Amino acid sequence: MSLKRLLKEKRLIEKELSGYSESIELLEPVAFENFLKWRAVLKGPVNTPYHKHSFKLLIELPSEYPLVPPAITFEPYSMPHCNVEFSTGKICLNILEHEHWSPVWNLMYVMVALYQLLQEPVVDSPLNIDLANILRAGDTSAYHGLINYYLQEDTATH
Amino acid sequence: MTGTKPIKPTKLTMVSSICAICLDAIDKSIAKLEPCNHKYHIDCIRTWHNYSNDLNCPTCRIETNQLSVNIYPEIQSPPVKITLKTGFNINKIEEYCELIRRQPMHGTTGIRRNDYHPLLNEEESVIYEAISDEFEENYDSDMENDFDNSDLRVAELNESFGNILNINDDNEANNNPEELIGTFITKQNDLTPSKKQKQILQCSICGETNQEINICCQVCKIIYHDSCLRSLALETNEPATWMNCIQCFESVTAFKMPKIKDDNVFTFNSDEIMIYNGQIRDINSVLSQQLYEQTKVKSLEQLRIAKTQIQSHVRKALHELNKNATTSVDKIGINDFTKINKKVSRELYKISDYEYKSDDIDYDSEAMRLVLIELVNLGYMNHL
Repeated sequence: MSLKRLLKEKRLIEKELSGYSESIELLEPVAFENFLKWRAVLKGPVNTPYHKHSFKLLIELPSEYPLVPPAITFEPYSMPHCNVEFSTGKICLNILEHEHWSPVWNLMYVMVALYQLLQEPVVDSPLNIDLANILRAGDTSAYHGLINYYLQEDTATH
Repeated sequence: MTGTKPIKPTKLTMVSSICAICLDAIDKSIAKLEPCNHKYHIDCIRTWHNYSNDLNCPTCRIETNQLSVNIYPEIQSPPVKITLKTGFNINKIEEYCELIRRQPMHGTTGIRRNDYHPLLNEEESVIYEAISDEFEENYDSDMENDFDNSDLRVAELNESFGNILNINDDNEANNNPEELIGTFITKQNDLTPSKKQKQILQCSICGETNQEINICCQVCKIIYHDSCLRSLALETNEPATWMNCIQCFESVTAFKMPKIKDDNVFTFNSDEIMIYNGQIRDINSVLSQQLYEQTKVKSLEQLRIAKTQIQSHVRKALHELNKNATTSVDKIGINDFTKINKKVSRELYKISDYEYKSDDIDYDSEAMRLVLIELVNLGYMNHL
């Protein structure tokens, strides 16, 4: 089921991304021969510390896709976010878990969900506890400052 | 765990004629989830429900309970309904087994048995009575006077049932009418159902036992819900087989489920009950029906008359011999009288092919000849 469906998804993604996309810069298979590995680049949403930055994601699709959710990670050491583990890029998002996944969702949908996660971090299930604590304390300037520090360091090292 | 606000589905999932799971168009094998009416391919949605932890609709997440399947939408056939929760729930069978174990052996559930055959239809009752009559006739008025002890008489009755109508123990439908003549009467002392053989009358697919069971296989003696059989055919992707037995692949026939009391499981003893012609029937009544069908006799009444007439010849011969007997030793005892009467009569039925043919057969001399042979066998030498 998965390859046929992925071909269809790819065609639709190409169509949607041919115009301007507010959230997604790139979403494509890593190699043309292998449709089970995709890469994506998310834009940082406006009015967030992520604005004007872009974030690379690696998507691995199980062969049972879409019955089994895709495994999505940010590039390690690239995403300071309270629901993302900084060192691995692991994302905590309920729709990517097996019991919350639905086969009617697709990669485009997941990208939109991740974009929303950047806009609205959830402090109750943090993978980055430092950021979550600052956010919970309501110290917005410290929050923005820390993220900016991470992001600048990131751009400096790369 | 991070929650996100529900996002409007993208265009992919908005078009109703496309299966949201495989993204192919749905033109065949439409499966509609109820109550939300979202459509998928039957394969897609069933595969998903195997993977998922719930039976919810993948699109709207509503809890669904039924799948309405239309495999060939171009043919306006009524859709097959699959009840998602109970449809293929093997646990049901286990529950029933547990129920049976808790039941008292002669409880109110299960098949109620009357004194004779509760399941005999009118025609079979006639046969049954005919046989009983025949038996009673063995006790001639003058002989009966010598035989007043009622206890002894009961013992005699039982013995006669056992001996004369030798019961076919292996319950196999015998094709030879001559052999089958012995299987007329139920085993009177074998009515107690044994725990071992108690079985549940249940749909072989879902394990439910309810009034809706309406299909059976004549070969395997298995019953089904017509809906289960059809859903299974869909599940296995062989819609053409939905009127075939899942074991022998013979085509199935209609079945009439006996009435069940509320909340009870229909249990039966495989020694007494069988499925015949789409009905639950007493084995003995089926055997008598088969006999009846095989003996080419045009009517039951005819069979009964032939038997009475033939028997009268045998009795005549026996009485004649009794009258001529000079000593009390030579007088034929009641047991032997009955035994000989039965044996000779049955011999004569066979000879005359279950019809009274007084033109072709000299019944008087033939009866006398056979009676004498029997007497010699039993040691009444002086008659010769």
